[in-house]
Amino acid sequence: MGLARRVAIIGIGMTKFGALGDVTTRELFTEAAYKAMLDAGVTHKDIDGVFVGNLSSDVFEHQMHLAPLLPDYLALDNIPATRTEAACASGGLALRSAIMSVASGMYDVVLAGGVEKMTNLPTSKVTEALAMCSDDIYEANLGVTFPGVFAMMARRHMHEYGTTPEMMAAVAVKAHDNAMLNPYAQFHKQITIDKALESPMVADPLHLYDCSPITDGAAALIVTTVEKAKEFEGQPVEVIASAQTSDTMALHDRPEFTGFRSTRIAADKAFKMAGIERKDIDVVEVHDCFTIAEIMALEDIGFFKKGEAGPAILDGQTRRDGDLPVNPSGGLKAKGHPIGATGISQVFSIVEQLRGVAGSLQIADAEIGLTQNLGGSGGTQVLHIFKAL
Amino acid sequence: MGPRCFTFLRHYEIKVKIMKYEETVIETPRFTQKYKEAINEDYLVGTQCQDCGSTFLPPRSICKDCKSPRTKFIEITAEKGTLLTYTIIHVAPPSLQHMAPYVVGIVELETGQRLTAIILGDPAELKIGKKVLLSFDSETKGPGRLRFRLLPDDHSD
Repeated sequence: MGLARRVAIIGIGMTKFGALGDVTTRELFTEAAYKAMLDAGVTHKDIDGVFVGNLSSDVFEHQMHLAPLLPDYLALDNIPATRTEAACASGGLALRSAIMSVASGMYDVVLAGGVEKMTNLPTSKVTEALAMCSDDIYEANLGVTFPGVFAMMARRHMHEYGTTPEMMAAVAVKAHDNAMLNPYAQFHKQITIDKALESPMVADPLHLYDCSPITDGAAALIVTTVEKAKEFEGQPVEVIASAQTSDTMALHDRPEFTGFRSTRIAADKAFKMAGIERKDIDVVEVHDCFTIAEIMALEDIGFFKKGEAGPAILDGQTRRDGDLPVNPSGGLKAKGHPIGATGISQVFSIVEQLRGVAGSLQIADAEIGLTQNLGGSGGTQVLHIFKAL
Repeated sequence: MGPRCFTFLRHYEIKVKIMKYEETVIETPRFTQKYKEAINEDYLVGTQCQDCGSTFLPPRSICKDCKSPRTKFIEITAEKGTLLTYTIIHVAPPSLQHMAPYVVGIVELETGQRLTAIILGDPAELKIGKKVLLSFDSETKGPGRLRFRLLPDDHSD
């Protein structure tokens, strides 16, 4: 398995992430998409297809059939448009769909976007909507919330590997520290481990500062072939691996709760496809929907042995100046987590890094970057690896 | 809990027999509905693969292990289980806000299957490895009826 044609990202755009008030889904998407088109130097007539990741504009905004609505508002006429939904991996899946459509030769230039407008609903209603991303009959019905699923994994990780609340809090402190320098981020405030540990419990042992926020936002990418990229102005970054897999829906159906089998499988596929080793990666954006998720992601992708990611994070090894910079954008935790946009926004950040235009967030000499986008409690997993051209 | 004699418990197979189009027989088993009917009467039904013998709770139409579609309902006779992990939910969905904070956990039954449910008992007694008793909430209908109750330590290993 591989890419029949070499594929590149040539344009990136995103909105500010945050609680953005009365703006609508279509406006958020159009802002991000138009920015990506300008960045790539493509015009409306160049675009052959649209894929957009969105979890639930139906619940959040009472709007279904989003696929034609968004390109319509962007003024793309009579274009093949597809919405992808894979819980929090909806955006990553939109990109993967775009990559497959370009690699296959079906399309030459594709817009891959993601958008979510979440803050219209109160927290309890958002909690209820997100719980639908677990098994509704056998998990959500039994009182499980999304933070609850990750809290049960955290509890087991603490039990088996000695991971501590301080190690999890260190993920949040690093995320907020990085987001200080990201103009798109929802939060621009530094926190401390003590402050994180003093914040209210959401699902024990996860405090408020262990959880990513409720966010509005959109992000978009322009995807084409490495060959065709020469015709446009946008600085290309090559996609050298795209991997996806699934797992059982319910957590209780898995043999262990301290990591994601789907991450391990997708990571092995991605590194095989790219033909590189773990040590070749310069910068990563992983799916830190909860602080424990970042710890498990780094172990499952294979950057650390089981139980060693927490201590490494506490030790500063994943800071911007560390051996393996993780989530220099601020991650889902502090940049924000507008669900459908998240997977695309991770790639936005990595493309900036590999182009060398990430400003004060720039990781020196970054040439190869990885994104990991997790759907639900690992039911969907999408990994991509990118290389500077 | 003693054995029961519901006819659907004895055997069940997905019947997919492809012949000429007009004669094709496809029966979609309502396994989830059977689970709901059973739990409303305070017991659990799962499925057992007729080819490899693997058991599944909640029920499954096709064996996750050997992929056989030949299965049958079995009553899960477990009364106790072991708490594998848990959380205390403070931020609850609207339907459960009146109960918050409440405890949810994953339990491995003494018959080997695992389920997620609300855990009753003193939160100060919570610990991975605690023994729990299968129970049901008479006020709730459907899968949400399942509960586990923490047992005193002398029931633990």
